[in-house]
Amino acid sequence: MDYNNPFEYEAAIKLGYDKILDFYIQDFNYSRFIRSRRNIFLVGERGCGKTMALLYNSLPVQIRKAERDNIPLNLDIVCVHIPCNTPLTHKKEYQLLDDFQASVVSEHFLVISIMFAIVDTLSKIPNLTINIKEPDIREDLEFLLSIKLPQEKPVLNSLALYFQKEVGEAQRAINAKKLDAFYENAMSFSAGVLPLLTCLKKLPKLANSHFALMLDDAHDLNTHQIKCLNSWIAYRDNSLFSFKIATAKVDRPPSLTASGGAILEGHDYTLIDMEQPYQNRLSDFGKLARDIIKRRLEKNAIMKTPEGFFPVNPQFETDIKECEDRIREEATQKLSKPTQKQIIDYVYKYARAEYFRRRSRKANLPPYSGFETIVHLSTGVIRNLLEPCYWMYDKVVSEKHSKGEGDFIVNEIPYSVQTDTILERSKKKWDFIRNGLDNTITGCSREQAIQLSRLFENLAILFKKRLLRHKSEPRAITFTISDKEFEHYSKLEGLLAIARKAQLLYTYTSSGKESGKREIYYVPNRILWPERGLDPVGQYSHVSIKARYLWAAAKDNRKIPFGRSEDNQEQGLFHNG
Amino acid sequence: MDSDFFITVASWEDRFWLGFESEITKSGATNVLMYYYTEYEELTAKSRQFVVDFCKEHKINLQSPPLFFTRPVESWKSVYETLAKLNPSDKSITLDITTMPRETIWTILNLLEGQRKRIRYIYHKPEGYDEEWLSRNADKPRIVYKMGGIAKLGVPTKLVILTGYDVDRVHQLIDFFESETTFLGIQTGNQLDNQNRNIARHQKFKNEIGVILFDVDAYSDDRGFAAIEQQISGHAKHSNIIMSSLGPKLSAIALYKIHKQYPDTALAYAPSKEFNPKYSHGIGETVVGLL
Repeated sequence: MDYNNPFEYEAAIKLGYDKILDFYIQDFNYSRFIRSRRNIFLVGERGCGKTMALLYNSLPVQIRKAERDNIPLNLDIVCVHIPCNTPLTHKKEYQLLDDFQASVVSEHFLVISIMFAIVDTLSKIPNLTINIKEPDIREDLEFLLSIKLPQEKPVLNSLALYFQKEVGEAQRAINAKKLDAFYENAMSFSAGVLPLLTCLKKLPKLANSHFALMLDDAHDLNTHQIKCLNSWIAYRDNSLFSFKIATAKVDRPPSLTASGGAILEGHDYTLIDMEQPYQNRLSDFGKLARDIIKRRLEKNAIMKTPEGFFPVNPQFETDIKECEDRIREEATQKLSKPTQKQIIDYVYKYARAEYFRRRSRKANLPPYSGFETIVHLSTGVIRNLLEPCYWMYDKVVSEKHSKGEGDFIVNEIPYSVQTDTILERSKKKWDFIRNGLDNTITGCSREQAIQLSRLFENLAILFKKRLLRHKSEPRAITFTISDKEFEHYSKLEGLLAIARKAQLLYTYTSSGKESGKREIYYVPNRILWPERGLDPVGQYSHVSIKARYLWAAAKDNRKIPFGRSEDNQEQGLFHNG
Repeated sequence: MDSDFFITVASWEDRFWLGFESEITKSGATNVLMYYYTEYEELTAKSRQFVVDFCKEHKINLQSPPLFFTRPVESWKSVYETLAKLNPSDKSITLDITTMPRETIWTILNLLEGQRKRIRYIYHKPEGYDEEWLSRNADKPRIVYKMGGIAKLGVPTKLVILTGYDVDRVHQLIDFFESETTFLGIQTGNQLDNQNRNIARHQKFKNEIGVILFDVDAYSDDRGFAAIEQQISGHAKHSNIIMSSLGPKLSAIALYKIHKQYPDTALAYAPSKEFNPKYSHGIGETVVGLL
């Protein structure tokens, strides 16, 4: 059975240039940052679109774009994609050396990788060296880099070949079965990348170019390489080049430079958080999600809106409507002389909660469906958005196949298929929490896996209680942590870091309403909630939970206290924003 | 077959000391190098004492250097230094890989290569494994020192994983190296509940993009070498190939030989921080081979 699933969510690096151009949404772009002369850090966990943003802007993709759009190639900003998750980066022989030698070898590998990426990228520019005297530029390069290039190939290919040979020789040297196997001819950034770029700027087409060196998955670099990179970032003359660094949030590399200083956000670089809180369809991520799905449908000749392709269960829609009407009526009775806005706010807060409250305890889980629900379930992460869509589409095609239908044309995903897939994915996530954490997540012990399982169970219980009983913010499914002086806070932080690595938990920072201080907001992956009958459509609010309660939930499986204003229990526990 | 040196790693499993006793009695080794992991010092104390007493009684020279799961640099240095002290004459060596982590097997073989004329390996199967779990608390996968091959620039990463009972570790390796293609070697046969615990569990990868399943038999004469080579031979020139074994211990021998045949390939170890104190019980068939 061969078919094209429009919601493919493969890692961006595996997509070809055309698919990147087809799938990338320019509205959601960090292009203005990436295509700037500033140093940029893009941070976020897997699947939030870092690599896609870098690859879209990379020169080879931009060349393809210019071809497709039949427009001249703009070489003002030349973006070079430099993957760091490579076997070369994972080599660890430097650990057998003293600090100085380790640093030299580590820098060498990184510098050669960058130089190779630069020449490999530039070699894709059509006619780059046309009308220039190649021997002159070759001579300059050989002189400045103190190297001897092979003569029989074009200059950029010769350079690529040279770097390939160089990296091989260095590896052979450090693979020697000796305690202190070292490579003597190591190259530094200042002796390698800088003269290379300076020399390449002499090519007429690159005379006005700025080089954006985009290091992807920089968290995979070793500590010596991170220090080197930070030192280069601290080099504040960004006329010739700048760095765009994509890295995970949890294992984000430290800011130290090789000379012991530190790079500072604002001064040395701008930080972009790629994980965005998703609140509603009009928020940035809401618009992005819609554009992504719309584009995917269009590219597969499916002439439906995302809402039309993923219809809501009509009974659910009717039930929600009834609840809205009832709550609207309640608002007019409860509030004295309410304004229209007050009524809208009241309905926003309580109508969906009313739906969940009125469901019989014996009823099946709610019929989760509809495009907006799917977007909420993504928790603001693109891969989380595409993944259930992919499996829904796959299920429909499989059903067609098993019925012997010849065509695999899918014009909508029936709401029953959506519900089944959402519940399957939700169950799978809980199974992962219960069974897979310590086997999959680096640094997660069995004890921590059990603690995390308890913590998420207790968060689910708390959110369920709130959904059914809380008087003012029943659908809050985001939390902040208070009482950070708690003695085991660091252990709790360690636990939450593992949850973030496992993409069970996302974070974003925002200013607290009352204090105005920047605060970390924790958002559990919303795909967890369907299996617990919770509403994945949250609301603009959060639950402030004391660190000691979260720790007790994790360590001793204690319920997180639920404060009810009507009986003044645990008063002050929740500060709903 | 006579063996001058017998190299092993201490374990609490029955097959460690049962195998040791039987093998030393048969081979008449005059020197024993018994590494032990400090993290499991207490758990292996009894079986190590058994070896100490046995060697004393039979006048066998015993060295017992420490290794460290959490400090691979120190472990490598410990192996390097102890092996460097061996007299590089034409003494024969028997390597008992039964309870030896794959990283240690590869490191020892790599460092011995060229020094020794003859290396014999033995592996004692257990009677059975614990049914609940064997290892957990996964640590970051790592490329083995000096065995990372020659990584090329600008080419895709391809991963070879020989699977075992732990499906999650396969996911971990794929996620960690973000391979373009993954060749999953599934051990064939019904031994030790392999059908349910390995073959059946890995079938789900059939539908994953970029994953290719193939059969491999580490208990065959070539330990699966030909089956693995068939998968990688066409890719070695234009890819970076990383290989790891989560399956039968004997498959580590096949991967070692592949690495030697294709020196650009890398060997990766997927460590666990916790092993089941009831990992296996009893001792079963013994498999012997020459490198």
